[in-house]
Amino acid sequence: MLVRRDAGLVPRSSSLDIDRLFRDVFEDFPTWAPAAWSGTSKYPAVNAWEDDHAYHVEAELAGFQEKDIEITVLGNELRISGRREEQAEENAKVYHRERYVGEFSRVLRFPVDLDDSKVEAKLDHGVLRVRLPKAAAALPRKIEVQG
Amino acid sequence: MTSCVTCAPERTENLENTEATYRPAADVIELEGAYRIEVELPGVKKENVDLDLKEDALTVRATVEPRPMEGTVRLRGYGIGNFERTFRLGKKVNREGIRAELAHGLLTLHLPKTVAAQPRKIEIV
Repeated sequence: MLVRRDAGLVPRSSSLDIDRLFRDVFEDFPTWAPAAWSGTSKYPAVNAWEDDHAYHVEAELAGFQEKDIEITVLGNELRISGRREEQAEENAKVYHRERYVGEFSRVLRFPVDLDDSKVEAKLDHGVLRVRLPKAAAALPRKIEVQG
Repeated sequence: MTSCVTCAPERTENLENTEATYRPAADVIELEGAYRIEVELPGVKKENVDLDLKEDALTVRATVEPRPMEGTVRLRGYGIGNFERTFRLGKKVNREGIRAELAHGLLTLHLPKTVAAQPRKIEIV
């Protein structure tokens, strides 16, 4: 979850009236070692829901464009993967990092197979929404009672 | 200061509360002549961001349009609500030169350093 990434850096329920961290930053705070993000499978955080015909997945990917993200569907699994490169600038010092950097690949598994030919994905202002129709075989079927 | 910024919950808290205001994730980078703050505002459009500089406090506020989940919710990794975060600026920041841009749900703040805070190359003659 996103929350874990800065848990050690930012006071979570501090009584400070303002984000003290950044006051420090702008007043000669010593260089901070960037956090090492590994085990990326929890990123991005997702919300998921279902209706009769489809599953829906939403992920927040601020700063990402379509070309940076790959959506793969296989059987009953959805994979969201991509990569955020660090901007390579001369003499840049990262004082504080909460944003995810590097590669990620998150897999979600659903109870039934998905119809991979009808999956729709849309990225809008950094919010990814994927609609994953359930495979026809997985949909409820009405059986007529013969008289 | 009256606002309690650090008390704003993180994205994974208060998930059911649709009235919640969240503290957006941010990076702070120092460059040679400026600082850059990158604030994640997913789902936010330009017209819904408000930047306010009051003395040393630079506050980012963003309104997020609701994104309903129609059906049965199966997984809730984050809450959806408005964003708010305040950054306290030190003496090195040139207030007049602050610029902001929003693209793909990422707000980038450029904060140039004052002339006195900039590295100066002295030429040897």
